[in-house]
Amino acid sequence: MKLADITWCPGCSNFSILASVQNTIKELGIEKNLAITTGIGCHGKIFDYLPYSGVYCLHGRAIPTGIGIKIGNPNLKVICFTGDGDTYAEGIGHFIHACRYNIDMTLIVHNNQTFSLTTGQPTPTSEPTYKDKTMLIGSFGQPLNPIKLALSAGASFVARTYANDIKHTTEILKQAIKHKGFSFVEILQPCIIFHDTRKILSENIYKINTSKNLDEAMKKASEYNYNLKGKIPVGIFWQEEKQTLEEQWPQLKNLMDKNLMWKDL
Amino acid sequence: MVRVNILFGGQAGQGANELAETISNILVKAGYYVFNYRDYGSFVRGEHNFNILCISEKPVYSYDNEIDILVALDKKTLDLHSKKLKKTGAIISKEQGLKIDTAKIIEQHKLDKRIENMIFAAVLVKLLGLNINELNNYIDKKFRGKSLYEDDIKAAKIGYDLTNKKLNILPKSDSKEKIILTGSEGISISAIDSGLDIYFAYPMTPATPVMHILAKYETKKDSKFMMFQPENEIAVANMALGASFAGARSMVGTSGGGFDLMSEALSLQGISEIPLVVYLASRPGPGTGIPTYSMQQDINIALYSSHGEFPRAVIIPGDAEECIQATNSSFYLSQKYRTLSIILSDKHVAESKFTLTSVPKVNEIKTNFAKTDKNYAGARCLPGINICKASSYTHDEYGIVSELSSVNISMLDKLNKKTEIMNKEILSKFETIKIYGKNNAKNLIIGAGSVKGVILDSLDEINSRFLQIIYLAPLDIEKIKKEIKNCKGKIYVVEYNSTGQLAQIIEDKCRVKVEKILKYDARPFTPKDIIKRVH
Repeated sequence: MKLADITWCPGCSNFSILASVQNTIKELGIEKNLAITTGIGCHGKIFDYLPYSGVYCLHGRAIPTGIGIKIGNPNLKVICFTGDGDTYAEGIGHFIHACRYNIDMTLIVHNNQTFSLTTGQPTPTSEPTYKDKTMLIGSFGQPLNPIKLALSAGASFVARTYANDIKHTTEILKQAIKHKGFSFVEILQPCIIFHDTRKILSENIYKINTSKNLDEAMKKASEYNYNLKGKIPVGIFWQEEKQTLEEQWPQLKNLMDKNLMWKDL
Repeated sequence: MVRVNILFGGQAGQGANELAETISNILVKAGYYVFNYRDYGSFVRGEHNFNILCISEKPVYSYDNEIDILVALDKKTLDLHSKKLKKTGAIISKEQGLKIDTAKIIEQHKLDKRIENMIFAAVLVKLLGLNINELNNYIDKKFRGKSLYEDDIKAAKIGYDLTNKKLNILPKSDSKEKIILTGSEGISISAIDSGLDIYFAYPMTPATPVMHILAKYETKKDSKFMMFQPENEIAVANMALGASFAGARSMVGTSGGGFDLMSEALSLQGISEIPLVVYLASRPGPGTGIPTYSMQQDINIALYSSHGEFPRAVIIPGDAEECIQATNSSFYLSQKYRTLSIILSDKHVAESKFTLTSVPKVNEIKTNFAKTDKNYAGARCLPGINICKASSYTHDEYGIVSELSSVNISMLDKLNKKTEIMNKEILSKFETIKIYGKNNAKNLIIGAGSVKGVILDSLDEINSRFLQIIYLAPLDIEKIKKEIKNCKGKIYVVEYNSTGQLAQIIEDKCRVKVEKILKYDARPFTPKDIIKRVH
């Protein structure tokens, strides 16, 4: 199949994320049974660069569409790619509920702390000093901490990586996809045009070990509040075994046990 | 044709609706036709609600406000509805008419308080001249094995023996057992029989009964579908599209407000060509409106919601039987053309009980799966088997984004061609309109959906033919124009809204001036209302 020509800016960190994703999927060998969803924004273009089935969704709705795919065929692996505008602004409700449902699927948020495709407006994780043409005097309010939010909403796998560390990102993505339940990986990425954080991120990230309890994970997550200051923990904050939604739903469990699609019933 | 009207009223939770249902079931078993209208507010316990049950020996689809028997479970029912009672009418209540001291009976016989309405039911069964066995059979079928079963049987006997009076108001029935069904039940059973895999919905009156009915069926052994309630209607529509993309047959249900939230996703349906059936049970608006009452204000959003240009079919059933057919056709069209099918109803169709002589057969629907989805119809690609990409962006035949002018043109040409082919099939093979009444009748009445019943019940008195529109999209303009041309008298459009949305469509598309008969107090017409306004 002929894929699209890549239209990310030269030097964009999305190239690194694409490489990590390609490595991960190849190493796990899940190409055939895979469906992806993407939101709208620079990250979403990844849909046209990957030769996998999926839906290029509406802005903010890659999570519910992904959940729909999983319920529509629980034998598929589902990966949702979204941006910080997508998941933390337009689709924040879906994010919280996806953590709560614990459906077996992976959410990857490309977080560059800005709306790049629409030329640089602030998102819910932009630092308070962020200025652009809609917020000439800087953005108001505190940035959202999505790691803490996911932990308190009951996500069973919560991780953060840095886009340009392809090796580490690949390792974390592999574990996220292998995790049974809802896995959330936030990839911090610079936008070299509107939010160039290459220096800050690469100098301040440090790798953590997975916490032994939720309090400890919460504490680790609180170390960084997206203000581009201080140390930035990356790695798996939290992972736990929990029953998934499809394991608990008799009809879905039946489809998984017998490796069937709905139409085969 | 005889029409007997019984009003059952009481506080929410007292069981007026249950009582009306009990009597309805006994009557259809004895061969009568009934129409059971339910009037309730947006509250759970305490406030007033009522049913009007209209009984006949012939098909009946409406009720009258002239009541033959008033069954009042509380005093407020007497205060509110006594003025509707005919001079010859009877009252069953605790205060007047045929007085029943339920509190005393319950205490004397040590019965559960909740069986009060069964005592009323038994008295009414006696008054109507029906046999107590018919009530006992119903109790047996419905309550055997449940905690109140013994008390119900006792209450029935006590109630039946309270009076020796018989009213002799029921006509003779054909004695052939019939079935009662609400529009919601029609939609639910038809969806299951049409191969529904997943129903996604967020609670919103008057669409909610379908959720409840499906959830109940889902828990039965060997059910082959599920009902899922996500966090909001936006999730509902996007999940349904995801599930459908993965190969499941999916359907969503909502009312106007939820439909508005879904409208962006419906536009995604248009461009991604993922099959979807939408059940829109409209309610009076704008805004939150009057949740538990009925109007037809959403004709325009059913037809024109969502940005961009893409195919859709809109079917508007007028009773439970038509709900079954509309749902079956919606699945057929959405699967065959990978398109959006909307079933438009309202509370009057969704929650009234209609009598059917038999349940119409539902056609089996097949889906053809194929390697690509390049065709206008038929083929569908399945993830997990082939690589298939659906996109919300303008895209080429493989689902890859393109901003080329040629791709934009070919994609829209394809969608338009699909509309053309689908409409051609519908207009040539489907019952897009129905005509009732004598050929030589003077006037022509046009209506759609929930106005059907009351127009049919008035037809003998108004020297008119009735043209019922079943498909709002595609609208069968040629057939409608032909009926208009043949009409020597006036052309009326009857609808439940304040601006005449359907009338406007008929005027625009058929180039004709019509007289509007509108009602927008959120309550249904009675035949008398129609007869008064047709000249």
